[in-house]
Amino acid sequence: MKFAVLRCSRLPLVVCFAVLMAGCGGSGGAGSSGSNQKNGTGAANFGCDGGCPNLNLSAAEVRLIIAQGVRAAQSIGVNATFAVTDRVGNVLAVYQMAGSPPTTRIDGMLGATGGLEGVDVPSTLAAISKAGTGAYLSSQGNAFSTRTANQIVQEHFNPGERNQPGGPLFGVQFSQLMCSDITVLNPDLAGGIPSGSKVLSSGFTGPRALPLGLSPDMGGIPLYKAGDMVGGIGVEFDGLYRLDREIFDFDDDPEERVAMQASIGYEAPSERVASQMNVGKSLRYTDLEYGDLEPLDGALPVLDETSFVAIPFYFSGVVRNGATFGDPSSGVAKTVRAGVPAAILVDSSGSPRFPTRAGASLPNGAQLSAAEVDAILDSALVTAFRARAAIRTPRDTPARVSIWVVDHLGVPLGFVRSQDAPVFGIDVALQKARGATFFSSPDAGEKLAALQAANAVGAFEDYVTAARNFLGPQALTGTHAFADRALGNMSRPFFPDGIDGNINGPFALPFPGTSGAARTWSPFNDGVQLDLVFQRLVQPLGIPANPPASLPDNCSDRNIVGSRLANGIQIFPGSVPLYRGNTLIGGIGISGDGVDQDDLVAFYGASRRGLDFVGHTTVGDPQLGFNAPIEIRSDNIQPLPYENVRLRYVNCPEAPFSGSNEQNVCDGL
Amino acid sequence: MVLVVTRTIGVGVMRVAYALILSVLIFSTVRAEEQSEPQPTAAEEGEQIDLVPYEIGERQRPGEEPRPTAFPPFIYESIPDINSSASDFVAVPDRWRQLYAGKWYDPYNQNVLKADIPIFGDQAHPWFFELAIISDLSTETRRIPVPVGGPSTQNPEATDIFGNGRQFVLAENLITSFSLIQGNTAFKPQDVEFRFTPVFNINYAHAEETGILRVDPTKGNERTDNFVGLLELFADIHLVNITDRYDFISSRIGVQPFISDFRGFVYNTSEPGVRLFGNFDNNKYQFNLAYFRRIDKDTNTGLNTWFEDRFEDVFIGNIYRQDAPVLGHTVQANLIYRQDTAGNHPFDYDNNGFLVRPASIGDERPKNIYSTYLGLTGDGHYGRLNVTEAFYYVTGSESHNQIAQRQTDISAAMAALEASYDIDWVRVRASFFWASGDDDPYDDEANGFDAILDNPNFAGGDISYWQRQGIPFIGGGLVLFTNRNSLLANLRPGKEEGQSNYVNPGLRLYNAGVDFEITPKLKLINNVSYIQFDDVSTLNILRQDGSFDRDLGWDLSSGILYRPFLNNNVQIRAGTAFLLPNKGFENLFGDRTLYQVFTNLILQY
Repeated sequence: MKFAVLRCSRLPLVVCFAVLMAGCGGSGGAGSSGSNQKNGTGAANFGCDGGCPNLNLSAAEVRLIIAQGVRAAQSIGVNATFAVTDRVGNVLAVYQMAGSPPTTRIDGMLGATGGLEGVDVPSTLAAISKAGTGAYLSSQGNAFSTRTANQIVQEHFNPGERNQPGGPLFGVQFSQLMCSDITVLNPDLAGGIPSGSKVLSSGFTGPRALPLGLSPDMGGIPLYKAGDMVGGIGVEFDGLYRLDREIFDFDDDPEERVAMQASIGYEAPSERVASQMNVGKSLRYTDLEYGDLEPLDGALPVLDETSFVAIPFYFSGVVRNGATFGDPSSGVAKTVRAGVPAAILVDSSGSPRFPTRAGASLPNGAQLSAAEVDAILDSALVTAFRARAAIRTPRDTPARVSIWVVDHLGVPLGFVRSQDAPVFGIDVALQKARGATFFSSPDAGEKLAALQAANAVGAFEDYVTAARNFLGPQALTGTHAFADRALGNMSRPFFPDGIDGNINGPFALPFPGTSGAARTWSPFNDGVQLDLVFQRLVQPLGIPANPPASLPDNCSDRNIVGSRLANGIQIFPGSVPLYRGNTLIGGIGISGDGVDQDDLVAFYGASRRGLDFVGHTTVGDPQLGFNAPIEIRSDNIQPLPYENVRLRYVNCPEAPFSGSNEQNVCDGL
Repeated sequence: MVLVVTRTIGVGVMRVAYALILSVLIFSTVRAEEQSEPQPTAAEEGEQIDLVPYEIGERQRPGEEPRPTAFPPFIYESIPDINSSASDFVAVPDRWRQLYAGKWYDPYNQNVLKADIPIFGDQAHPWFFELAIISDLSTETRRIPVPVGGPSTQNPEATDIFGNGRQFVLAENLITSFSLIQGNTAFKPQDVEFRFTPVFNINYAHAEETGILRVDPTKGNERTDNFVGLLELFADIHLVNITDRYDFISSRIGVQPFISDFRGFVYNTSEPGVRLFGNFDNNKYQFNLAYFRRIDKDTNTGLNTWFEDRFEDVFIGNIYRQDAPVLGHTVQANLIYRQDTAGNHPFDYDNNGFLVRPASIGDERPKNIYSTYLGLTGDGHYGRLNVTEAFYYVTGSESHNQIAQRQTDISAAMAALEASYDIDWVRVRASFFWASGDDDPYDDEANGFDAILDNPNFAGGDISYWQRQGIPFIGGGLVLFTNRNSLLANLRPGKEEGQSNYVNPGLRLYNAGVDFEITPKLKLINNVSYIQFDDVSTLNILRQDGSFDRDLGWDLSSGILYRPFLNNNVQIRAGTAFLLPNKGFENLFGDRTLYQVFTNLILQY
């Protein structure tokens, strides 16, 4: 098996995959256990709601977890690849049992072609992404697994339920990328590969990149100590990096089984697992129950030190301790803002990476001032604090999110997050802020066309024409404000979202089997979101077999769009563009709780009502705060190709604020 | 005459076959006895062959064996007109046509279409035909909580999850019933009846939001639909009279309506099945033994489809005792077993594109249900106090409850009590309804009461808002929080197509009402109900909100029943109701007052 990235130069590259391999011997995840056991684990519940002390995994604990995993793999006769990360994505170990398949094939399981479909990637990278997914999606208040991710990124939610909209975190798989300007790489692990201007930091500084982004392939779960979420474990050995399309059964997925057995003693508290959370449907954690697992009999195996695999930028080959989350050394430092427990991103010296600043100049001084940015951050943070969390337990605890404000050029102007918000939201919230801002810009169409033209591969659809056919000839010229919810509407394989048999949205690809298109949609080939970052996503995937000559420091072409798409875009809700009058001055992006809650925090946070609530009564428009004029919001665009249909702008949730029955809180904002 | 013999044998064969179908061996014996008594022996039949048919106007004389006859064509003009001077001494063709002259459109006089005059058969075995036509035209204007569309909205500026819940519905049901009846029904049950009742429905609905009437927002916010449904298709065969006072055992096979108890709390629908029923001890006891295999209902009309399987079996056995414990009060004991195996046949979508089986809530995994209802109900009066009582306990298991995400053991109960008192033309009423709620949705016990298919007449019935309206469980799952024409808050994707769900918040309803019989033609019905959840735990987890309040709100309703001709041929029903939300409801759907206004024009032939 061979994975190779053929590079032509250091410039934005033609990337070719020589997919030579065969015979990965995927064992799949078939078979229903028929279990009717209650979801959850046997772990003690510590009642942590985000305020428990943060702990870390020691190297010895990492070795124990891997040894348990090896024992579990042996017990079912497989050779597995393991990765363990801490909460901010530091890879604490990568262990590849002799005979473990070296690569795994990306497969959306729906017959799609193009994008990452059919690409073989190193199993070690897959394991890291799985471990990191368990860690990044989880917190003291929620334990999500790669199975959870699988459930929420497909074309329907739930997958398999016809006519229902796409997963709430549709597109989240393409985040935490190495090319992101937010993720941090460890220069000590560079292995001689030039990192360009990529952000580097030794030690523990996160958030680290995940090589494949977030993973929807079973076998990645978070690890807990005394109620604190301290990391994740990922297991890969079946040769398939795949989706589970059939979620209404109970799978006995061997990768999931091994990951769970490895985690024993560090499993998630049963009251925090995804299945305890209902977002219209309950979320999946694992199909197996800890109670279903046979005890690991006999002594744990002695780990073979030569099986720890060094991977440039990720792992040195020597097992290490994990970061203590919230400690400045983790890159996420606790603070208090507007009276609310908060956190910021810091570098290895403990200095804020993103101190609040003013936006780039705009005519008439319309740009955001630093004080205004602070006001918006305060407002959004407090809005989140007031809001009832949708994906955390105990119930009625505050929503915990990451919050970015960017200027009209996508440059970060300020950042804050709620303490204990899941880490994935750091990168995703910025993707959302940038997505809304970019597509609301007067030159969005022009820049998109330029990116397409510069893409030598040609695997970059003509999204501009598609959008103009869809929305009218003036689309993407700044005539309308697009929140991420609207971008999401347009980035689904069916339009309106979820209606089987309808054509794809203008920013998506046709669903397999619905047209003769060469490139078809899957979560691994999802349209404009992936095409914008595709080259820089795949370039580092040669690690470790064929390390690239250098690393990208920006997910899109800096020469064309500067920082505006530096970590890509996101295509699920949780951002709005910011305006002064009719002038686009930036965007706010939120990620970490339910998507309606993310919408609420962005939209209400930027609104007059939100600003007033935190005492910033003089900043922003007297009626709208920094929200877009009502008449230019995307839900005013008519006609669309279908009658009776509009793009959404935001959707605030039911009874959103704790301690209040107030409904329709976003009305008129 | 050969025909006569064939018919006689034909009936015999049919009865035997029927008895076999029932597989009730003991009744074979009974049937044999029955046959031996009134049926002529072969020898007698042989004699009968020589009998001369009756002439028109000729009558069977006392003690004479009935002779075959051909009934004259049912031309009304051939019947002497009572008003005609020429009628004084005219012979009448048979005993069904003396004195009266009807018209086909006149159901109040002798009418061949109303089973007053035989259409064929002989004097001893006349066959009657009955036609019934009911037109039920209804309109309804209402406000219910609705979500704005998810992927698309009808209107701009839809920034919150709740949309404009104003809706209008117009529906016409034309119920046509065709019966063929054998037997003199003046003093005893009929011998045989074949009935076919198709219902022709056309309906129109208008909503203010898309995604409500149909899942696809491109289909807009209006819907016109029609369906021809099957209300009845059965053969009713009298098996045996067991006493001189016509205590009997009878049977009915085919699609037939059945109500589990006096008020329809658990099962009230029309399904294909086999039912054995009758009475004994001078009608002091009545009983039913029934098996139904349910067919699926049409989504927008609730009518039976043409035998699309619902994968649900219902076995019912009940017995009524009249005058217990006091004169004028009847008690009923009820045993119902239901086996819903729709979980073996996922996934089923309704006509509007929404998933109904399994329910789109919780973990959405398919389930089967095996539940047994034990009921004790009563109805009647204690002196001048009218009462109705019902208590049900349900036990069994769900192979997998979507909300609990596991197999559950069902243990739930329901109780209802209504007392009323008549003071001249005023009836005052008080009632209480309780359905148990689940206290721990994630445990292995399901303690929320749910019915099989309820359609209760209680606490204001369909005049009240809470019972009449179906409310979507916005933000909690793609199910109905409460179903139309149901009291239960059972989180079920339609009570017809959806499966029962025993993990639910339950209900407590306290009702007071007063009815005024203003004139014999006009009745005014008024109700006030205070509604609470029995246990909010299920709501807490499904809405991810731990602060639910028990108090749902007030339901105020008022309706009239107007029967301008003092009969049921023309009935006008109309009503209005308001739901005033209290904290529990505000948390779910907001504090906006909800309302309904409906009218009903029923024309009956």
